[in-house]
Amino acid sequence: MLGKLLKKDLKSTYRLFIPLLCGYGVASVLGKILFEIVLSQEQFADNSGFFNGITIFTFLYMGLFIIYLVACYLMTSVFVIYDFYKTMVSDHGYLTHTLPVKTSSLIWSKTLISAFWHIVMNLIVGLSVLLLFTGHLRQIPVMYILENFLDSMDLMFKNYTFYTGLNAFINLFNEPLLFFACIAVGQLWKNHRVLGAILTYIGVHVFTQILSTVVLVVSGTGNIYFNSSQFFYTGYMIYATMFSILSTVVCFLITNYILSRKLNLE
Amino acid sequence: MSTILEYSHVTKQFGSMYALSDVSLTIEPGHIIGLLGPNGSGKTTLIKLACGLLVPSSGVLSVCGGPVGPESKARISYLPDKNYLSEWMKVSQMIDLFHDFYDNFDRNKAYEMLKRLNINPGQKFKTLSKGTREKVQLILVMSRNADLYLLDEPIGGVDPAARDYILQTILTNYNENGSILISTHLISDVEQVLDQIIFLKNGVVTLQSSVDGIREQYGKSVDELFREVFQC
Amino acid sequence: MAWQFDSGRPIYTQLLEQIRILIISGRYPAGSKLPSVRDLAAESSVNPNTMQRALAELERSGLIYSQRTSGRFVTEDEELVKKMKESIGQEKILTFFHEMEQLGYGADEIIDLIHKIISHD
Repeated sequence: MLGKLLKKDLKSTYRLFIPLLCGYGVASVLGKILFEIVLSQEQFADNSGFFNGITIFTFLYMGLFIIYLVACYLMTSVFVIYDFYKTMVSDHGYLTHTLPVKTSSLIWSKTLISAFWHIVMNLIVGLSVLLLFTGHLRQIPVMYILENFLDSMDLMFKNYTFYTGLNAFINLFNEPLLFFACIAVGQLWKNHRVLGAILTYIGVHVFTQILSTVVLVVSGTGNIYFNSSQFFYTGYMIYATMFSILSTVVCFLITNYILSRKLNLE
Repeated sequence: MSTILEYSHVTKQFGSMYALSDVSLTIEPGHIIGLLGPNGSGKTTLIKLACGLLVPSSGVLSVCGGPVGPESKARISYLPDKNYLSEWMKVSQMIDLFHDFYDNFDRNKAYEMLKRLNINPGQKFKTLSKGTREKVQLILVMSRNADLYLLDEPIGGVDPAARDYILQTILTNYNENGSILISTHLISDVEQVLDQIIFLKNGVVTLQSSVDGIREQYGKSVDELFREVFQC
Repeated sequence: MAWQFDSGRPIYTQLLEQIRILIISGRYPAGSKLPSVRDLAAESSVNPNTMQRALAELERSGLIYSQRTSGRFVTEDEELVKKMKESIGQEKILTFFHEMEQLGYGADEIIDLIHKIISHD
């Protein structure tokens, strides 16, 4: 049944994501064209007004492009939340919750679809960056920049690739499940269930911040002045990973419990 | 055949409000039962409990001897009083979805009924009127070969001509070993289709009887008795 | 024929009466096969169980009989149908006479009136 649910959820999110991703694709190609024009301007050392105009425009465009890129990531989460809200706790839930499937399968499907779109989003952003630099890769000292960067980060990424990757992976599940759990908790409110969900999210966020600060201070890992930064990051990464896993599991259990045992569709 | 649906001492509270108080009743196979009561008497709550859209505050529900869950949902065909169709979907896509999830869904039956009611399967729901959407939902529900049909106000929003067709649809399409529970306040329209009735008043079952039993005992129709019992 | 039901009496007795009329009027001739319960119920828009009960009553009166596999048939006994027709006709006339008497007509007056109406046609 999970396969059928995935198919259903993919179909209903597909029509939200495709325009967003197509828009991003077009914007990347346009960016690439502008970028090439500006580069050719340097080659011909032409300082005519037209090229200056283009240069200014390209800078403006790149600024807007970055805003669009950030918005894409934001919208990915927004669409995931919208789809969950719409199909699980609004009128559409009358269909969703009468399908002959387990509540946990419903949640799994939503989570996996969210992860899928985040991965697609990352791939497309990666491709667009690659596109931007295609033809100029030799001009950019990639390895030099990377090494410099890693050195300046004090081995952080070199030694913590594993933790960083693991955290990113867990976050694919943690992020949507946190939203789902908040929406589910909001359902326990008698009225103003959306407000309930938002307040829950803010509450959880504040709580997480306080908790992580306390943990870091109490465990001493946060005491950055007395420890080497390597020690700091090891501790931080381990706690962060553990916390992410715990949070993912707890969010899943809360969502599943509320939607199966406390469901009150009105 | 055994009991299809059983409520034993089921109570449902919303905050301090009792939507259902200590309801015990059983539904046997092969009947068309009217769930009758004024607005706010708990009809929808009673049905939603059986679908798993609400969880009882106390008491136990069983569907075909088992608990409410994926297995019971596969056996129950439910028509809610809400519109659950996605605006962007086509009628045919919804039929595909039902076909995907419900083993007992008969796709040909659905297309036949759509044709009878002149509904184009290629149309999107956002282009359909409210009445047409209600008809599509009923077609989806009645195209399943279910053990129990729970129809919440199936004729509320449609015109009298379509009402007759819908009642015909219900009579000709239901599974003979199954039962149908119809909640409505338009009793005179459905009375002859029913063979049993349940009166619900303020969350309490006040009467469960056969239609002809009432006519024999009281010398009046269920509709007349209802008006007497629930007069304001 | 449109199926109509009034509210004071059980639906199955009304169904029984209406099917009986269909039989004695020849709509369902002697020995013919009746539609299935489901079809009859759909045609008259009534509950199949109610229709089933009406047919069971008719079976008891001998007007129809059922064969286990092939369904229900109208009796082949034409005498029985005729007798049933006569007894219903008698009942109707008695009711009619009763109502006319209430209007103050005597038996002779009623017959005169009937003759008058028939000859006018």
